[in-house]
Amino acid sequence: MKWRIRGGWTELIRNGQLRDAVAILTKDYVTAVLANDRYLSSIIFEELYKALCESKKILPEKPGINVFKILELMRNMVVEEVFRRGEDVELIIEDFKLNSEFLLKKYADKEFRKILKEDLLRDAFDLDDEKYKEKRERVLRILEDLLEKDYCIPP
Amino acid sequence: MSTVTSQRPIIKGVLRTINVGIQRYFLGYTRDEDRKKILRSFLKRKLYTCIRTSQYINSGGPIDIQDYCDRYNECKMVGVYETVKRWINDLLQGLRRPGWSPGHYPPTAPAPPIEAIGALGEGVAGYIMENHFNFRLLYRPVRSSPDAILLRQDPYEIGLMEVKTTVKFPWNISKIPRLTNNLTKIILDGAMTLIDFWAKIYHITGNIPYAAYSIGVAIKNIICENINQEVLLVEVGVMRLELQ
Repeated sequence: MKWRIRGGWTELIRNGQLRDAVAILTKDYVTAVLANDRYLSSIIFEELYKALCESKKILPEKPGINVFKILELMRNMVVEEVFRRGEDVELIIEDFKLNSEFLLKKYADKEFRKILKEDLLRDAFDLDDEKYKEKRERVLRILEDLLEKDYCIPP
Repeated sequence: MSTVTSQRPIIKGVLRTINVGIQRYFLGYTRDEDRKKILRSFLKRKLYTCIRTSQYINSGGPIDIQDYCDRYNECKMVGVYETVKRWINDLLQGLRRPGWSPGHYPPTAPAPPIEAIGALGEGVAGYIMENHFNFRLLYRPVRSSPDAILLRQDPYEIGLMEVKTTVKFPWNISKIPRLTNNLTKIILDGAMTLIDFWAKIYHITGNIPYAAYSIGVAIKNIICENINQEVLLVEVGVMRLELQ
């Protein structure tokens, strides 16, 4: 096996070395996905999210609109790592999308339901379903407005 | 000074290791009670018939058991070792009442600190896995199985660890709910839990090699070696499960 899970990020997070932890987590996430280990990849994805939240002084349980910024950052880091390794990006994007949906559901769904008054977030990210196109566009527009205003739900 | 040293015991004891190869179809054997019985009897037979390796555990110097407990336990517990030590002292020496001989466990005895015993066991198991099997903690799942996910580079392996703890000394400790003095039983319980969990994740674990470690920790006693140094006597059984 060319790449191996490096580990050690638990200690780094405990010691507050978040930058190093995030770097290792990104590498390990890509390794886990490329090894087709979806169990580890889901664990590492969530830990990466938590580590980034901690480094940005955001509560992981109440990220507000910042969840999209964090996910975008994660996506960029992961894609950069994949390109650096010269691997196929499609598998990673698929896993990333699945994990993002789970993460939004776990941490952000309840909050957005309060803002939007409707449970539309999953529809908005159900990219394959044409049925929800209109709803999705509306939700995404609202979210973009919130992003422009730098809206963040107070903890 | 004495407080600090008393929190850093030397760990001594015996470590028994056994390797068991299980067929893939056994992963489905935790589905119902009948199949569970078959799997359990298979593992028990392996436990008695396979070659066991025994070695002594001796940490050499005092170790920070609280640090291991913090890392390997689900939530941080303050004074794990102290709590267990206090209970052992109360049980064996203090708070005696008429008709109570040391080592016996009457209804008036101090209640066992089950959580602290479990946390100490996880700490000891963590120490064993790091120092005898060269593992490092990869992740500690919260409120879910297994107890820890471990990683080692040589040979490259992900270890799923399940720890069960027991105490050895009061002869009738098996009468207390949630405690037993049977090391074999707790190792088998851990193995069953691990196989059940492994069956759930098997189809998504890809190419990374996995192994399952069911660890039974029996806390035998805490004794004073000299005035400043305590020794935690343990007996540890490790059952390594590998898919064939």
